[in-house]
Order: sequence, then C-alpha cells, then structure tokens
Amino acid sequence: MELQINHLIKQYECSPHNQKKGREQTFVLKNVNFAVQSGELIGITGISGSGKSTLLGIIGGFLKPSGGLIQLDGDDIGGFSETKLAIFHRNRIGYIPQGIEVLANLTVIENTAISDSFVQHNDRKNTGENRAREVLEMVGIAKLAGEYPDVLSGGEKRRVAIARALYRDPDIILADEPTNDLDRENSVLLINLFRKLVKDGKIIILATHDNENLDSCDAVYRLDDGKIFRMKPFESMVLDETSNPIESR
Amino acid sequence: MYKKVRNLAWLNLMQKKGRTTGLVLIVAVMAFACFSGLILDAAIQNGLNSLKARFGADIMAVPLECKTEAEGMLIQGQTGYFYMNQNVVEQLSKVDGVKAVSPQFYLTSSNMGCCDITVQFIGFDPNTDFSVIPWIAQTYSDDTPGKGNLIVGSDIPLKYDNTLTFYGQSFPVAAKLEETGTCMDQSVYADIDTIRHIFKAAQEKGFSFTESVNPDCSISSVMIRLKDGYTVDEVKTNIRRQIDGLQLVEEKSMLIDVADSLGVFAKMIILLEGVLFLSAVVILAVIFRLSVRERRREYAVLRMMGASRRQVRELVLTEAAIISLLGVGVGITIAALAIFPFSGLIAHTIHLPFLLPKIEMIFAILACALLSTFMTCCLAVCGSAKKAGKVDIYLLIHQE
Repeated sequence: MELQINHLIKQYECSPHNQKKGREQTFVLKNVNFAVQSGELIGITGISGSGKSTLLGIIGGFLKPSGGLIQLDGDDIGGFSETKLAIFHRNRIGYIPQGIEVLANLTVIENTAISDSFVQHNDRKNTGENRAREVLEMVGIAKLAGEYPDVLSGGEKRRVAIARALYRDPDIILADEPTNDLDRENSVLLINLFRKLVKDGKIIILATHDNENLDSCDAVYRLDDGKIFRMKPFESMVLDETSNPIESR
Repeated sequence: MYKKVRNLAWLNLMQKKGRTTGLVLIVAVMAFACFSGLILDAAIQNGLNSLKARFGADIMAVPLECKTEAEGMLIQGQTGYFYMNQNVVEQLSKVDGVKAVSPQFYLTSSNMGCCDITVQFIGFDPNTDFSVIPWIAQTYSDDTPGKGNLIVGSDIPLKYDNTLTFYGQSFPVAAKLEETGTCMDQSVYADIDTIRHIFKAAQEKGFSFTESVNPDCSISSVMIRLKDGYTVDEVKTNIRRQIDGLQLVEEKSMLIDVADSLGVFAKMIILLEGVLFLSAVVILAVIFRLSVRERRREYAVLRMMGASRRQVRELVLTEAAIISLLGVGVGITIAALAIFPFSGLIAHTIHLPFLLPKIEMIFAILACALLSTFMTCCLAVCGSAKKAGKVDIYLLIHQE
C-alpha cells in the first residue's frame, strides 16, 4: 500500500476566521509532495494554523484539494464519488479529530461501534462486540464499555474517539493531536499502540506539536507557510513551489 | 450492540425529552386541527343533508307571524306551538298546483313534575302524511305507530318500561328513531289524535296553551307538496290569492338560510384550524432547522464514521417521522375524546344541524388526517434534513 501526495495545493476563498474580509485568496498548502508506504508512522508538525489539520483532512478525503493529487495505490481519492467516499471513510480511514467528539446518547462501546450503524450486515463480519471490546482494551478503557460519555474525563473521551477510529481496522490512521488531554503514561501507551499498528502494515499520519511523539515517528515533515519540509531522517525542502507546474482542479 | 439508524433517531429524541415533548405537542396540535376540522365539517354537512331529507315538503303553511317560530322549531330545536283552524287543509288542497297536503299538530310538554321530559310533540295525520312516515319507516317496521303510541327521537331518554309520562298520563313508546343530527332528535311523534289527547290532558291539568283553542278542530301547520310542472313561487302566489292568514315557509329558502349559517360556521372552523395547522408547520420547520444547526458537529462525526449524506438525511427524517407518529396519535386521540362524547353538546351549542358521519367515513377522515399531518411534518423537515446531509466533516477538522 502506498499513499502519494503530489503537487497538493489548498486555498480558501476567504479566511474562515473573518469571512467579511475574506475576498482574498489564502493559500494553506502550496505544492505539497510526499509519499508514505505501509508500515510507516509519519509525523507532521508546524505552528498552529500551518495547515496540518487541513492536510490530514485532504488525505482522508474529508476536504477537497484545490489542486494536485492524493493517490492510494494509484486511485485518486479526490475523485471518489460521495458513495465511494463514504465506504472509503468507513473501511480504510481511521480519523482521530483534534477535538473530543463523542455522541452523548450512546455508551462507550456503542460509540466505538457507531460505524456499524451505516453498513449492511455483510460488512460487519470483522466487527461487533468482541472487536469493540478489543479496541477499548487496546486504549485501556475496556472497563468503561457500558458508561455514557457524561461520566468520562477528557482523556477517557479522547480514548473513546481513538478506539472508534481503530474499530474497523483501517489501513490508514489520521491522528490530529491524538495525545491532547492524555497524561504522559497514556500518551506513551498510545504511541506504542501506533508503533504496533504500523508493524502490522498500517499507515499512520500524526499531526502533533509534541516532540516526544515526533521522536517515535519514522519520518517527520514540517509545514511552514504552506510548504512542506522533511525534518527526519534528514532535513531538506521536499519540493520547491516554483519547480513544478500546479494543476488546479 | 450496534444501533440502526432508527434506533439512533430514537436515542437522539430521548436525550432531549423536553424538546421532543414540545415537538410532539406541536404535531398533536396539527393533527387535532386537521382531524377535528374534517370531522366537524363532515358533521355539519351531514346535518344539513339530514335536514333536507327529513323536511319532505315543498312548502309549509303556518299561521300569520309564526314563520320564525316554525323555523326555530325545525332548525334550532326550539319548542313551540301555534294553531289555526283545520279548515285551511281543505282550502289548501284545492289550490291550483298543490298535489298533496298533510296537517301537523304541535305541542310542548311542561318542565314541571307532570312530564318526564320537556319535548316538542309533532302530531301527523297517518292518512295523508308524506314527510314524517317515510322517515319513521326507516327504523320502525310499521308505517304508523298506532293510536296512543309514541315514536321518539334518538335523544329522548326512555324509562325501563319503554313509556313516557306527559301531563300525568303514561304513553307507550313504540320505537326510537335513528339519529338525524337535527332538532328532530329531541321531538316526540304520534298521530295527530294522540297529540290532541295530550293537549286535552294538559288542559285538564290546568295548562292553558291558547285560551280559545279547540284541539279537535285545530292544526299547527300544513305540509304541501307541489304538482309536477309548478314552481314554488307560482303556488305561493295562488295560495295568497285564495287564502288569508297564512305564512308560507319554503323548504329551499329555509335550507339556504341554514346552509348560509353553516357555511359561515364551517369557514370559521376551516380558517381557525388552517391557521393552527400552518403555524404548527412553521414552528416545526424552524425548530428542526435550529436543531440541525445546533447538532452539526454530531452529524459531522457520523459522516466521519462513514455515514453517507443520505444516511444523515434519513436520521433527521426518521426523528421527524417518530415525532409525527407520536404527535398524530396524541392529537387525534384528544380530538376524538373532545368530539365524540360531546357531539350532543356541540350540536346544542351551535344551534345548527350536526350529525357525526358514519364509522366508515370517520375511519376515512382518520386516515386522511393521519396521512396529511404525517406527510406535512416530514415535508416541513425535508429542508433541515437536506441541510444536515450537507454538513461537512470540515467542521471537525477546524475547531470553532
């Protein structure tokens, strides 16, 4: 499995923070290129607002790029139909958002297995209660399976969101600041879990400010002013924005 | 363990019980307005048709200045009596254009202890009658009840031995008629001699209806049927030329007056209930729109977890469908409890013919109210469901 990001650009027609002023074009990503293979844990870093979350969103197919290609084994994710995209999200992408988003009216285990609500019976053969308990065990909250979110701490809710992302055993895990709200011990537990998952052939892309998390990554990229730089294993600018033509969609 | 979309919808509703109860009540108001409006409208139309069917004569001749009282008796259920010499029957029968005539004799019972109940008596001539007997025949197998027997309207309560006492004398009741929704339901019918007998019994008890009246040669009204080829106006003119001291009540004009009153009443009901229905639709649409706006992040999570836009729309519509079904159930139950047990009171209050439709018609109206309210609710929420389906996962990527 290979994920390739080629000449990716993302521009907003207006600033999301001040829509009245926002006639100007804001480039968030400018000609971003990199590739990830199965079994790699990639770290993306950069200052706040540098486009880390936007990059994860585009890779996951949650946001449309303004130009460039995101290819998974040769398939252009940006060109998926609505239905194909929903199936892609369900089966191949595990997304851990930056904020804590759990459904208040479902128990921890029901939250974990929520994606089963949207699939046919045939697509549920590798999921179910045992799988839900397994992923809750992985993130260390199996004993909270029957609890409702209102009795959970921020860190526990975060781990519910992580378990939910892992539930369908996705090929690609996109984690946006996943250790927010977690104490050191649980952060280490989570990074160890990620290391174990990449060993099983997953691709994990981690957006984080945390240097200790970045230390565990196989490769680290830094986003700065919309451009991407490789920080690890050796530092360089991946591609100069003027050296390749940019195709707009 | 996993939740189907409909279960998710139910859980969402249960999580906000206050909001859900409010929405159910709004739909209940819609269903109440729809069902009760249709039932009341049907009952009023039925009452009018029943009145048309029962009147049976083209013209009714009454003594001078008694037209209003006669119409009040026929339409509004007022009790009354008035008399004229029965010679008029023969005179009327000779008027050009008159095919048949039949006299009637009116009397009221007293509200004092000598009478079981206050009613309007209508005495008819079994030999000539064409307006009461056909109607009685629908319920009572014999054409006429026989001397001394009474036939009572559907609203008259009977004693255990099927008798009624008026002015100290007991009379057997031969039959109880079907409900008509008109004041005829509160009347007692008998042949003209029986009513005259009651009149005399009243006189013996000291009641004096009209000082100089001799019941044996008096009548209250004459029902007139026209020959083919004659118009009501022609015959009325002929009667006025030949006979003095009569006022003529036309079936058509009387029914037009009633229909006008009913029309105004029905329009008021439709207007009021239409306003209620539309207000409820608008409130429902606004609340759902606000709810979708408030729950955008929740929908974004579902989309992120693989729900298609269609499935998110389905979730919102399922919530609306559950609320609609509950609301329709509550609204129609309340409407049924308010209308059916109190139909008599409603009829009495509006002073107009009011006859509830037959059971099959009620079920048809029920189905119509149920479907129209349910569909309207779902349509009112369609815009919000579409909006929910359009919620972008972008919301989760960029914290607000």
